[in-house]
Amino acid sequence: MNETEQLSQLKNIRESFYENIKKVTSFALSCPKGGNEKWLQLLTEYDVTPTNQQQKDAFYAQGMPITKGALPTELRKVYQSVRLKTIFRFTEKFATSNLDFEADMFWQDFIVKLDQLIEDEISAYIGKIRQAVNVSNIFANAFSGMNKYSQGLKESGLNTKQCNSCGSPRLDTDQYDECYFCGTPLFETAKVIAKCKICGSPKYIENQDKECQFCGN
Amino acid sequence: MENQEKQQLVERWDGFILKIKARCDELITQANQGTEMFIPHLLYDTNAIGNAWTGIKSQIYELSNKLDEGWEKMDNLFDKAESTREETDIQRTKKDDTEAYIQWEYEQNYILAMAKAAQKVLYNVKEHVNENKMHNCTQCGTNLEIHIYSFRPKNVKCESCSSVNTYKPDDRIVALESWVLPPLASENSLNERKIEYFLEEKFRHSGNNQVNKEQKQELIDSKKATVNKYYQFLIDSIPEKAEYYIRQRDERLKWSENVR
Repeated sequence: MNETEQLSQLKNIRESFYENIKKVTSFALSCPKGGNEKWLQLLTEYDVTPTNQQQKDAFYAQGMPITKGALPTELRKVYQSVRLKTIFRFTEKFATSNLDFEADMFWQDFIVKLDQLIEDEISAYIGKIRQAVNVSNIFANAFSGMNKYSQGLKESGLNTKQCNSCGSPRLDTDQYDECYFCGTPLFETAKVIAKCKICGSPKYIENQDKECQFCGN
Repeated sequence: MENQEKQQLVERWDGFILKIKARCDELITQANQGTEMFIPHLLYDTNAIGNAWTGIKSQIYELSNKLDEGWEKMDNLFDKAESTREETDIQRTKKDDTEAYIQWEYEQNYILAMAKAAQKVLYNVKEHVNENKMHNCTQCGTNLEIHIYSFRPKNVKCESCSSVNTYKPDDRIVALESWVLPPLASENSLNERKIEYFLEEKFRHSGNNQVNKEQKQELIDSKKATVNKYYQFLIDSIPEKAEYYIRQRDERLKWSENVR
């Protein structure tokens, strides 16, 4: 097979691929939401297992709102099947022969496009089947978040660190941690696990068996 | 191909661009109307308006995609019409300018909408906060001198009994730092940002060989001007956190030099 014949056959394969993609896309678009009997037949034709109703329901509940068309995941599988069939067709024809330079370049160029094509087609398909969103929808949706962070706000206030045992305020003389009046720790830490049974003063772990610093119990 | 056919293509392209711009203006007008309707309902946060404008951004993004797709088609047609490189470049520039127009219209209107919302929240906070509220020492009752518009808790020493009183500002005032001051700072530096934006666009679309040192320096200076104006507003508004914002500003000024 010479280069011109190779190129001609490769062009046929490519054109047939694009035609199939166009055909299934327009078919998917013409279906009601979730597909119909004819769509199921098309899936069988391309050896794609249909999504069950439970999976469809989950998709429609969680995915973006759509108004029509077959399920995008099913269409993606059909695209993949079309791609696979195209590659099989190429292998059948050229498995035993080497491609000439021009034909090889042509095919490599097509293969590179194939990689991205499915993503682009699916993205365009979703754009066509999803529910149109306008500015009113956007603002109506945003209204649900109105003043979400304006609730439960607290007024300004003052508080003074006081000793848990004797009530003495922490003075401004320096950054001390134990009450100047009775010696009780002003800031509870993980070490404080119990309080004096008589006066309620907190006690460190190591002081559990010792006398209370405040009441001497 | 005939010049007349090329001319028809140019007219078709110009018509498409006009439609895109008109759609953009329509979107922005509707978004501004929506914002105006929301503002009277705001209390102490601008969350709802921020969310709405995020939705508008996705519409602007789609519009931008349409422009790209339109250009891809037209580029092929210009090729087929045997347009010279210079002729095609003129048409591509129209696309770049429209893209810049769309993005800037969004950014500018977003900044202004958020600033309007911020002004309303600020008004509500001022209405709510009683500036004459007495703050007395919890130990001896002496009136303490407290700056009400504080953005974080403060320890205040009572001059009478020396007790440490911890002052916790109103949550609404603390929240001004998130909901109100950054949008107002953006509005304050809007002119600088506009200059920066269009210099950046010019820089992005000029080929490497056309970029000269002066152009690059001009862009860096404009970026720095925006950063300085933005942070100066925050530093002046929140003096107690000046050090924090000065550190942030200095970091951003360093990034500004990173123009490629």
